[in-house]
Amino acid sequence: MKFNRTFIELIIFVILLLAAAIPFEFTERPEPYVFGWLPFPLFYWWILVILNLLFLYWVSSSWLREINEKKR
Amino acid sequence: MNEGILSFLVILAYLFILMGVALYCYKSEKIKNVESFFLANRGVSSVLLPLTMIAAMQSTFAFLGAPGMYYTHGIGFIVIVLSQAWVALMVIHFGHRIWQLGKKYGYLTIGDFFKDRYDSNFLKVFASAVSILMTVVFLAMQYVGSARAISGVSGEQISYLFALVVIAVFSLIYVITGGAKSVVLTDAIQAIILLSGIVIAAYIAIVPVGGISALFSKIAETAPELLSRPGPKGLYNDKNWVMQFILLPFGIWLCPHVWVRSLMAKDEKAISTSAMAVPISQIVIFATSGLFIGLSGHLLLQNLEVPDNVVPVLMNQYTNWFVASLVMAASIAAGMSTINSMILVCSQMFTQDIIIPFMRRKLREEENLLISRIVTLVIVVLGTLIAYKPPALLVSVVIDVAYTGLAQMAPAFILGLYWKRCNRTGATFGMVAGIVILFLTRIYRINPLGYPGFLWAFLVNLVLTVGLSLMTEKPSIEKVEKIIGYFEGAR
Repeated sequence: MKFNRTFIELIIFVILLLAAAIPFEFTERPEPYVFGWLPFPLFYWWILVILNLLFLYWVSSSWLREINEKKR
Repeated sequence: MNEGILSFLVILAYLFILMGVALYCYKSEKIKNVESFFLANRGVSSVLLPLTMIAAMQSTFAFLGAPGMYYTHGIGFIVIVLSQAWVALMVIHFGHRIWQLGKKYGYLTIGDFFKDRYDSNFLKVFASAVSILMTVVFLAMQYVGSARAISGVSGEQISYLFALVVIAVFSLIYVITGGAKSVVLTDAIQAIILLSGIVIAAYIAIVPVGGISALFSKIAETAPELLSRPGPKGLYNDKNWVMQFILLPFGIWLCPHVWVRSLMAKDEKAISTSAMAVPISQIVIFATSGLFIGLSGHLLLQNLEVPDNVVPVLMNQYTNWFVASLVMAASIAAGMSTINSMILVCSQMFTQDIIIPFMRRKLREEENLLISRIVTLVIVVLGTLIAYKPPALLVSVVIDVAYTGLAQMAPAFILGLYWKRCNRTGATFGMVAGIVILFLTRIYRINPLGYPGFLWAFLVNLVLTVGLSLMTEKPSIEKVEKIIGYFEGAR
């Protein structure tokens, strides 16, 4: 169970890290504008920021739950 | 009375309110030992720890530097949020381990860990000396930012020197009276103020532009290069972009005033919530508010000479003096909270790692506390003097290498927590070589093969730490078992 969680955590971490750290070519121009005004690179980075937040929430809450279960 | 002086009085009132909180802490519970003075008795709750974490991490840079970066370089500056999010994972994994060791063996500083794990007084003193050097210079820069903000909001009617003395005196009172408990409580208040302040500042900046969609549409027409990488000046080119993800998160977490928060935690819940505080505050400050302010500033304030002034100038031009002074009070809150944490941790490292271990006799708690308070005073005076007349070379070199310099402790620290084979020889040569290479490449401005010196420093550090550990004698089983065995036993 713990191995599975750690492994999944590691895989998601690597994917999110690479998605942010690789300087993709499409981030070198503002077009297309999402909703007609939001530059696509920012749209992409904002999505990543939210995904990072959700991932970190999942990691910290499952880590805390595991610690509490051990204590019980 | 003119608006400049009234604005200064609003900020002064704010500083006095915080002083009341510090004095309340001083009177409510007497500080009996250094653990109480420096770590609030390792009892900071899951409500206060995330707030003090935010306050310690976010400095005047959040209010002044970040909008200035968006103003100049465009949306690529969001890389700071994408790369620093991972500090939260370090808080959970490494922070939890050091918290457990701290509780078990009474660690007060990172030097205590190095001494215990590697049986080396040299590593303890060296790591602390490097951390103190970086932190004192950063402390001085926080003084500079806060004093300039006060002087600026008063319309230069309050001189820079007077503003600097005001900030230094208040910060000294906050720290010296209530120690960590006072710092944590004032931090909590200041974190709420700074988060509210930056959101209000963003709102004030966006309204005259016509809203968020109008902001981006207008920027697309006038300066589209701000809306993609690498930005107008090419700062976020491919190489620089990738570099942000390599060492920066380690350097941020190993800032003494940040990682020491893990030692203050009351329980795991506090560690978990403090970890989440990192990405949440980054989103509020850097991914949204700072971005809107910087881009609005680009539309509303053409050719600003000092981009870092985008917030004060926008506030002065687009709102009344009272709201402007409240927003600037929030900016000063960001600076003051970081200042308090830096003073406390510098005093902590200086007394516990450099002075006390070399005393001829074991000190009583009251003597240790007295020395800690005297050192606190010395740190404040030193920071103020540097802020008054910053030595150009020292400041520019240290600012450039600060985070990457602190990251040089990562191999010895992290491998020491997880790898039994890591020994004193590897850790010592790795860390010293890393710091020396880092400083030399920065001072002589050398980038071997086109890659920055800090990357080579870290690489050499890592190779030496691992290689020499494997080539030389194994560390004593007793020491290793004390640290790593403790975690294995806890599983």
